[in-house]
Amino acid sequence: MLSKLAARVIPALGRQRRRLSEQSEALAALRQRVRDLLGRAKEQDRLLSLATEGSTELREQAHHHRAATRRAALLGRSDRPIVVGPWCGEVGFELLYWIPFVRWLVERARIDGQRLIVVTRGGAGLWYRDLTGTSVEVFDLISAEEFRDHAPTWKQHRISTFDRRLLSAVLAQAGISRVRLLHPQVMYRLFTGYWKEEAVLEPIDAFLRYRPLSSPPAHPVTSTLPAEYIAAKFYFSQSFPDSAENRAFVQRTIAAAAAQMPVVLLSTTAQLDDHRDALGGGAGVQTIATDIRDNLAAQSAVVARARGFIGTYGGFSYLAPLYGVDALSFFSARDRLVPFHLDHALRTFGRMGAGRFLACDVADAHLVTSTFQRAPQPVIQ
Amino acid sequence: MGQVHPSITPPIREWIAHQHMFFVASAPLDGDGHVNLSPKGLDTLHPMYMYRLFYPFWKQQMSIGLVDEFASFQRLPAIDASDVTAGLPRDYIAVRFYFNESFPDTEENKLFVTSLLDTLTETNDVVLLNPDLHIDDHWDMRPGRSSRIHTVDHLMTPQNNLAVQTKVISKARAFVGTYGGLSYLAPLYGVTSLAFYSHREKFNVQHLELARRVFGRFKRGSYVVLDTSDLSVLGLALGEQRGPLARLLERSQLDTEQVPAGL
Repeated sequence: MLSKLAARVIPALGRQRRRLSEQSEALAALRQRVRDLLGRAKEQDRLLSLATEGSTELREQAHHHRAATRRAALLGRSDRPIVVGPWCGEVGFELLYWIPFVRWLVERARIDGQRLIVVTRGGAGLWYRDLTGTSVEVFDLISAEEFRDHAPTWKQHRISTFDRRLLSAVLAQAGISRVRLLHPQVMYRLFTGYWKEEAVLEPIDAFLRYRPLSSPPAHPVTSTLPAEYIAAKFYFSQSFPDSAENRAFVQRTIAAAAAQMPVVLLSTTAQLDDHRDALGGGAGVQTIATDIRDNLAAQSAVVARARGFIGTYGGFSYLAPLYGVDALSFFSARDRLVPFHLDHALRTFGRMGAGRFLACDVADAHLVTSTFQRAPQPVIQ
Repeated sequence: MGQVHPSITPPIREWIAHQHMFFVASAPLDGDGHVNLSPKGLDTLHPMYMYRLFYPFWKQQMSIGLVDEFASFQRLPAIDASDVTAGLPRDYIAVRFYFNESFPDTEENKLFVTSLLDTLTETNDVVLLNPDLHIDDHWDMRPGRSSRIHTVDHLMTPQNNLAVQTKVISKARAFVGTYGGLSYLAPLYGVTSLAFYSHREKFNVQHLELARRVFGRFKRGSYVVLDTSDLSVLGLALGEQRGPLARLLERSQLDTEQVPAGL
């Protein structure tokens, strides 16, 4: 009786177990598929968010693109004088973006250079000489102290009260009232997306026209210089911070350069921004101190006549290649610099065929020299 | 053990659909026919997906952020290279120069490589990775140099040449050579890489910019790429008097001046 029951029940239980096992496998497969689907949905979300972000960036870029081209068209149609500036920002942005942008806009709108009134500071008006011969010196309008208190670390994304004050003074000095304005905000707004490496509509070069700078006029500061020299300007910045290693590197580098030919150190008597000079000295080194009112004109005159330029990587290192002078500059904290600027400078000066531009990490310089040195000898205990 | 199924039932079809790869074979009944066996895959990760994804970056239509978003850069794990490096000096520099569009086969570039090898072998052992480096007919004959030059071409076959080069590079003090794919390998093994080109306009700068950033994050000063003419710029401050870099500069300038007209 029991065996008959067992004979009936056991196969049924076996079938039940197989069915349960199959169901369990099916459930596991289902769970896996759900996990896969959730993963895909998450990835889809991420892509969608990237696409949305990209599309917002593109929309903004298109807006600033239109604003720049509309400004160009407006300036082209008008016959009023055009105030270009006031430029209150850093040397690097002026050389690498602002002046080439103004040149692009002037070419695009076929603007007669005679209509341009450039407003800049420290004698930098001479950098615009291929565009116009008319420039207004900011330090003729306000004192260096006032300028330092208001301007240097700004990016001019808007026309500030300080800018308006400068513009009023420009108009008063020039004795004109009706002008058109080409303010740096047009460029800052257009290029910020590039600097932040956002989605863009076309390469930044579409808005820039580079040309070597014409030789600067003689400056009294050059009368005391040797016939041949290397110009040097080292200062501490975020990407080349003030540390014992960097100080030692500056001293070594200047000494190595001075062993080849005289070195002229560029220094200013006044501090305009947050960059502090990292002075070196020693045999074969001459220091040039310049007045803040024309410090950029004086330094340009020194750099343009030099056999080469060495210094901190930054805005000033762009000046030498624009004058056809080779430049070697250094940084030590790559993560503290904006990579777009460095990449763009390397690309631009590499193409220009004027002076060579080489910017490298202090550690890269060490790699180059150490590669050519003798193999390290094993330490015998 | 093989199992013969008289037909493909729905459960078998479902099972096949879950496989990442399977093979389909067919054999004719006729003895003169051929047996065909081919892999069929449902999941593939073909390089085309990457090419399509990164194309806008290479064309400068999208920023480097695109690659950062979809790529993960990591050092490669250490490898056992003893079978290749057993016959090499303990300390050496791996060198591989070849000519391409950005470093073309010109007299200047040949002289540059010759001068560079001369300078390196003054004080270093050098392992040449390319078996067919014919830069200058006379260079190999220069006295005192050949003992510093080592080659591994006898170990290389088409099947293993990349493995051999990888092993040599991974144990080198530094890699020096033409800017290109192999120059990326050294920093991936923690080896510093110094690479050269002479025609910047002949390659896509996007690749170089990405490489500089990626390897700069690995270790500062591990990856330097220079235009051959950049050495003279470096000489402004790093060309210590009578130092090796200064000698290289003098040598390459002297050699350039000695190039007979018409070459």
